[in-house]
Amino acid sequence: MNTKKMNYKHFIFVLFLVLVCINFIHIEFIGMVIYATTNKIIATQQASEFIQTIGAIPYFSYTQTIVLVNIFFFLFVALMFIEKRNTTTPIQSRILTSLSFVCCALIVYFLQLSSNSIVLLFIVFILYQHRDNKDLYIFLGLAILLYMISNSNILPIIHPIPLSEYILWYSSKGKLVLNFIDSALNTLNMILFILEIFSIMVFELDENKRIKALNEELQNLNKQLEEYAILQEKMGETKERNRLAREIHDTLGHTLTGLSVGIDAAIVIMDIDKEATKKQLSILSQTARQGLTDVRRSVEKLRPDALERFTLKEALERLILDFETVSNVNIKFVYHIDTVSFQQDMDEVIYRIVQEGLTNAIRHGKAKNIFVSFAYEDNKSKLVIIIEDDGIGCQHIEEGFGLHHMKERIEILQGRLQVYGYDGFIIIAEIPLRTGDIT
Amino acid sequence: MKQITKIGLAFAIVISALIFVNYQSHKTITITFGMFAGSNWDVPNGNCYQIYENAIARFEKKYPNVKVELISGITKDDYVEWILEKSLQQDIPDVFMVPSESFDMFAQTGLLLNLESYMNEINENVFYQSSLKAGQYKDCQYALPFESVPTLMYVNKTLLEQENIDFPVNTWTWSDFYTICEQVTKDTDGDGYLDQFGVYGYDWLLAAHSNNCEIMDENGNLHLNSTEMVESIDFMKKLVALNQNIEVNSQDFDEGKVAFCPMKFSEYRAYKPYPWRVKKYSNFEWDALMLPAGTHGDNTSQINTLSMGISRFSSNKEIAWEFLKELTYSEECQNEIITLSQGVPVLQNVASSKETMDLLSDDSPGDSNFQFIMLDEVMKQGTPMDLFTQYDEIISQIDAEIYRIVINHSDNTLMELTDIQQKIQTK
Repeated sequence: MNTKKMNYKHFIFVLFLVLVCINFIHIEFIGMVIYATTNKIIATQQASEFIQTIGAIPYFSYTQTIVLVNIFFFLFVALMFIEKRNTTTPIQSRILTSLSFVCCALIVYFLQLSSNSIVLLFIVFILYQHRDNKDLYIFLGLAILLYMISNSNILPIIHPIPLSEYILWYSSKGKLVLNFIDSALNTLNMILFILEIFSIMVFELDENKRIKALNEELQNLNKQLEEYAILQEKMGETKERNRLAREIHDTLGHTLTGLSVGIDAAIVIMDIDKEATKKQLSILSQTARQGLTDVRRSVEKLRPDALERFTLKEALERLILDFETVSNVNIKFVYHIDTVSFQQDMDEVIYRIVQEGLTNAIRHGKAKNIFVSFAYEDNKSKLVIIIEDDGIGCQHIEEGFGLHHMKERIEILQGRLQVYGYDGFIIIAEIPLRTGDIT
Repeated sequence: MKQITKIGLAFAIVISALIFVNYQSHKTITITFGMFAGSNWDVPNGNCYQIYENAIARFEKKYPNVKVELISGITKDDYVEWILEKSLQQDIPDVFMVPSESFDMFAQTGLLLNLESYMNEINENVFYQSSLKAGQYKDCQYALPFESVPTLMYVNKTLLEQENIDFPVNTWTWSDFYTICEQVTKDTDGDGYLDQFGVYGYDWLLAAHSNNCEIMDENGNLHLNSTEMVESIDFMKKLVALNQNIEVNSQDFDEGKVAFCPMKFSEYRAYKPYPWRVKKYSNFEWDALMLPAGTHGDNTSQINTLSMGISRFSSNKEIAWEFLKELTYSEECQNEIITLSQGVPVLQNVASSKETMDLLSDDSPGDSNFQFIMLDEVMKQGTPMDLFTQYDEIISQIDAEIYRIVINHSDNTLMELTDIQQKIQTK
């Protein structure tokens, strides 16, 4: 596939070079005809007849025409080759193409519309160079406009002098030869132009096919990666569970085993030695307390980082700040309650809900503005959290992993979760407060 | 990026070099003036360059950094070809003469600069309108008039006195004209052939002009079968019929055998003063008069104007405009037309000034009936010659056809003219 692509590219380039050469020969031919004819007309004193036939004074003398056309032709070709090297940024490339268009238009003007085959060269060039950006349509429009204008005398400011007007001044044999050369060059130019466009089209189709194949491959890989990510997550969960089990086993299991053995011993020695039993029990009580401390420490380890170090309010503010800095979103956070922290489990659930809600709003809703509010309801018996966004929302809410988790966590606290997706996305979480929650 | 900078730099160098060269070459500005030698009116002119050399001297004194180069030595016949050859080489003089016959072609082919943007600098009303109109194409001014020449009717005073005929008045008509012609046409020596005639050189174009005919309109359509045209041709037939198939020639007028002869004012100027008068018309007194009015026309004269224009490709248009003004708009230069050329100045106050009158009177010794006050009148009432593109070609075609029908005394003029029109239009 790659060699085929290279072959096509090579072919297109060679055709382009041939087109450049033919255009060069053509403009040199036109220059020569204008030069020779004008000299002939002056020598035979037919200037007034000539000018009355063409109906206008040529805007440039033959020397001016030849010099100007050649300068701008070389400039035109040079600009195209610089751009063809593909080392330019889109803006530079746009500037270069615009400059080459100006050169092309000037050449047509300097030839006083006697030939416009150079416009075809420009069309070929932009079709290849800008084949996959929007500039193509602008430049193509300009080029077609130029071609149309140069083919007819729409513009009253430019009086066209077709080459045939010059050829008219030769003998029938001379006319035949010159007309033949002119039409041969024109025809050759046209054929190569069509061939070149055809090649570009085939190349483009080929490339499209290749891109499509690549795309499919990429999508497959992406799917695999996604599956792998889910697997990874599951594995992480299992690992975490194992760690939790080990932790419980190590701390709580150990303590409980010690306690049960100690209590058994206390039962045995209770009737024999009261003092020893007392001593034994106080040791057991200490062990139990030690175990409690260990359990606390283990649970502590499972809490979100921010909550360990800050109050809930502070942690939420930091979370929101983090979201705002990493994604271009505007979050309004209103905390209408005087409690800065609840019990640990409650804090954690609230923190997770907000985190999950914000993530959803940004990831799925593409929201720009998010509103987060905290308030008490029913005489401080209920906490209501509202997370509202202006994103694309969701007509049919599919309960994904995140939402499901949120619901589960709230249900543990005997709360209720409501979601709406008609206009943006709204999450309303109601959590009943237990005595001692408000500190 | 480096590449872009390099290209930009190269552009900048080339452009600054061009600007520098341009600046250097503009330190002393040279403009060229293209003219043909001899008179525009085909009359002898001893020193045709004098008037332009004087104008250049005055102009160079006024603008010390400007040099005006006079390109001379081209005859009037070669002039148009020469200018167009120069235009093919892009070497057109900045300011050049525009004979009225070529004006339309010069303007149409884009040789002349459109002067409309400059015209507000000058007061157009100081020119004779008929002279100014000679430089207008599609309602835009492309050239300014330099000198004009009206066509007048010259009268053999001696002959009229011999025949006891009163000198006609300036408001005379075709019927007055015909009556006098009829009276003077006779065989004086009794050899059976006519030897005294009414008019020489009065052609159908003059008749058509006196009868307000438009030969070709702006869109290039011929109007040969209009009522005015039919009347003109019928009048021509009557006039020619008087001569009984005898061709009158210029020698007859020179020998004093013809009563009337239309002539350009320049010919009058050239031949009336000494010594030309002695050489050409020695045996009779003659004078000038306006042309007789046709049934639908007035006593208007055809006015032929030599204009001056600026090349559209001139690189010093501003200076060229100043020089053009020096030639056409300055009273000094226009005053010299009286002494150094044979035309009429195009500035009204110059042409009607007392000095001009005195100079013209000095030129014409003997008693002259021609009131030079009339000159102003003639110029004001005159209309510019209707000189369309390819004028000469078309007129010569029509001329041959009309000559045929006038000589053949054909009966149905309208039908004949319609035929001619179709014949020429299809060509």
